[in-house]
Amino acid sequence: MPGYVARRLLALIPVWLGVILLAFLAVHAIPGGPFDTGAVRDQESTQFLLARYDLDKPLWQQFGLYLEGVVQGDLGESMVRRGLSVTDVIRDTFPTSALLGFSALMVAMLVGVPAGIASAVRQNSWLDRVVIGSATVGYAIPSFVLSMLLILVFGQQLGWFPLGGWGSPRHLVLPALALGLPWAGLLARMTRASLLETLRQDYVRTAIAKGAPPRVVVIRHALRNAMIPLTTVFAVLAAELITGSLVVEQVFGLPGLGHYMIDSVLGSDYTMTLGLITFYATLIFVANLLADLSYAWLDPRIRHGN
Amino acid sequence: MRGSKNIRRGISASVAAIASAVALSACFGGDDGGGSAERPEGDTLRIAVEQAPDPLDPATLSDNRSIELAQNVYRGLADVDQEAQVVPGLATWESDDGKVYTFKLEPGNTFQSGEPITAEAIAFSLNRVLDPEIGSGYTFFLSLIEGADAVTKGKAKTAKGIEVVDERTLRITLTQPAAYFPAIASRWPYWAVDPKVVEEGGEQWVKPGNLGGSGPYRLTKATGDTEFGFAAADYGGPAPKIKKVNVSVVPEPATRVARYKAGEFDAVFNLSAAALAQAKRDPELEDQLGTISLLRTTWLSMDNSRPPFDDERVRQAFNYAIDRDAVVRVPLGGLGEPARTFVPPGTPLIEQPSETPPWYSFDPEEGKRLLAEAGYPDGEGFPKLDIVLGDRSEEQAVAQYLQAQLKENLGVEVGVKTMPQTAYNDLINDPATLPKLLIYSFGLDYPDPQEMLEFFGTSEGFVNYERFSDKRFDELITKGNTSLDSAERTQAYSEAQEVFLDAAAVAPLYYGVAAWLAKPYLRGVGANRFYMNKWIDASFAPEG
Repeated sequence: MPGYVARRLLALIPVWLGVILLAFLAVHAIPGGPFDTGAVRDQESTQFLLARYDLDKPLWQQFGLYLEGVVQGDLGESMVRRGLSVTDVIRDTFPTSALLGFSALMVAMLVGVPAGIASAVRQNSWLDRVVIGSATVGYAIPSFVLSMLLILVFGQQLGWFPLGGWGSPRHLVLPALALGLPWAGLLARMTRASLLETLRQDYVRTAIAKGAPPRVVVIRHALRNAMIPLTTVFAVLAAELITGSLVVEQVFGLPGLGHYMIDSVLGSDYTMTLGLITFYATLIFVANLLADLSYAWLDPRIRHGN
Repeated sequence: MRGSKNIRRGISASVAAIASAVALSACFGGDDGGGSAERPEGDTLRIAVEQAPDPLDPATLSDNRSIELAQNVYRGLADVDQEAQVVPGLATWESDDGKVYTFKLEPGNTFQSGEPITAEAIAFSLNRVLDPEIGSGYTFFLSLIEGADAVTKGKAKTAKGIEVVDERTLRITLTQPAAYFPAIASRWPYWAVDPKVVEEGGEQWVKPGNLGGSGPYRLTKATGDTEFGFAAADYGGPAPKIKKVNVSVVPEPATRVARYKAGEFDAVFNLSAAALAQAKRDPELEDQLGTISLLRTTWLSMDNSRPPFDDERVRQAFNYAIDRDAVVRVPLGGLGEPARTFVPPGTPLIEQPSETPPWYSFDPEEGKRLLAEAGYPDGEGFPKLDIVLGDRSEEQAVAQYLQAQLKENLGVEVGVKTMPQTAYNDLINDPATLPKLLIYSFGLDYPDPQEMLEFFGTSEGFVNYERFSDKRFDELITKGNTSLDSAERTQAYSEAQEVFLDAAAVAPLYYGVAAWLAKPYLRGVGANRFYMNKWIDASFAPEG
């Protein structure tokens, strides 16, 4: 197993570097720079600012300097908002995005997986159809629309939850639902498909033929194997949810990482954009690594190096 | 299978539970904030805005949303009142020639740290803005000062033209006479910061809790980019009636209004057209709505120096073809005023013409006729151009509407090309890539027509994107800029604008409008022609 982990890690590093390089090139390829805000500066002042941020050096050198910083844990300072360090921004706002993402993941799993199981077990019943129907609708509704609907119904009309802002567990409910429900739909469908597939396997029929109670069969034998393909989804989902809450954060006005990402891209704030992309990329790679590892743990065939 | 009955029962039970919960709450009715017109406990003014401010350092401020918060934290040499008139701020001034200004600081003013505001402190603040290390985007507000150039280029530490005469007197010498200098001296690069606080605090001196400001409020806390707390500070002047202000950043206009209605905020600003329409339809909100016409114009700029817009008939035709009332009504949803002049109405020192040239009225037939006369009957042979603009969503809607109007009324086909604001600025500021057709929006920074007419209209104007050039216009602007007599300045600027409008240099579209909601128990909360009102003027109405 340790060999497996080491091999996976080694394989990921060049990919991680590649992602950062691509992001670096993309950010610099966009026309307009951090100092093109429309304010007027003469040539000398502009040159001065460019030099201060190393923007007058050749690209490969800038990339080298950037990597040097990253390896030491320094993601640089915002080019648009002086004195604001990228690591400070991440440290201050990531916990919020992470909490939101995690809660959304819980919603997605606790709603989606049981629904998927229930509909697989009752395939083609009215329950199955309702689940699939709502799952499709839930997945299709843009999170923006769902957020507004939740605010209107549960926030304004019923007054059960605050309409936005942050600060107490009650503030978490609506955003977590808005972010998690669409993914619950996806998880429901995937769980259903995977479980159906597994239930058709020979060993399941054997177990039932041997007289094992159906519920035991489903939970003990089939479910565990059906979950294997889903672990990859969970891992990517986790990363998605933690980083993909931009819209929900915007609508509910949450103090998360999302709007820094948006503002930095629109304002051509190179360091902030790059820093956040590096952070996101690292998160997703870690999530993928964990997915691979859990895959190995769940499937003995992989663990023992088949 | 035996387990299925249990599963089915479980699900039915849950459904029933949820249904009854919903029904129960319907019985009790929801609290939609019907009683939110009562003043809440506490002495904090709670407002919501659409965008988080940049660090509140006068030297680096550049966007209006940050400036309108920072204006409570700092004061400058001059100030602007509610009627958009330039008035004394920290100092009064006099000048014989418009070139040398002697500012006399009023006694009693202090920084929030308790230190007196001296001429030296002001000189420090000004030179700091010029320091290239600071990277200010608005050094050009000080570019008139003698020696300012040397500082921005790194060749000197202080500007020659900024002289500390004594503790209370500051003399500023300009490179040329400028009657509008006091107006500029009311703007943020001229706001006073405490030199000691800045020097001791280093790059992070603006963080919450700092006492480097010169105004009635200071920043006490900041939670990420969503909550900002301000408290009344000592500054040597009358204490504000409202002791604490809490600014929340809620980017979504609909959410802002919903939370306002629920009583979470006392006032909300930057309403969008949709939010404005929503508020107008709501019987509870319509009395709490406020709007004001801003000193901001948005226009369609056409390159006067190259075909097809070098022909004034084409420019006139375009103007005739635009139904400005419809532009305000449809893409703007009513959040604007149709514009038929260049400098927005309400700007002092200029008289708007009682009658504007005919092409600023909607007359598609006349437009068609002129276009045909210019050689493009029904738009035939007209070059394929794009309307280029930045990413402000209101402008995008307007651009698309114009595209439709030009097609319908002139037969001319134009594309719409949107890009991020920084890319847009990059594109238009490079003469090699300047588009022939673009949408531009400008709001005056200070109440003087000079800013708009000189920079956008004179031959040397550095943002003259329409490449308008007229000797008489240039002469009139010079006269308006240098004369110390208000009547003469007004006459010169008014005439200059008429020259500009007669040439159909651009197609003005609309003036900006600001909209906000404020609870009935508030006084003095709202916006003026530039920004949100300063909080020093605000108070809670007396009880009962």
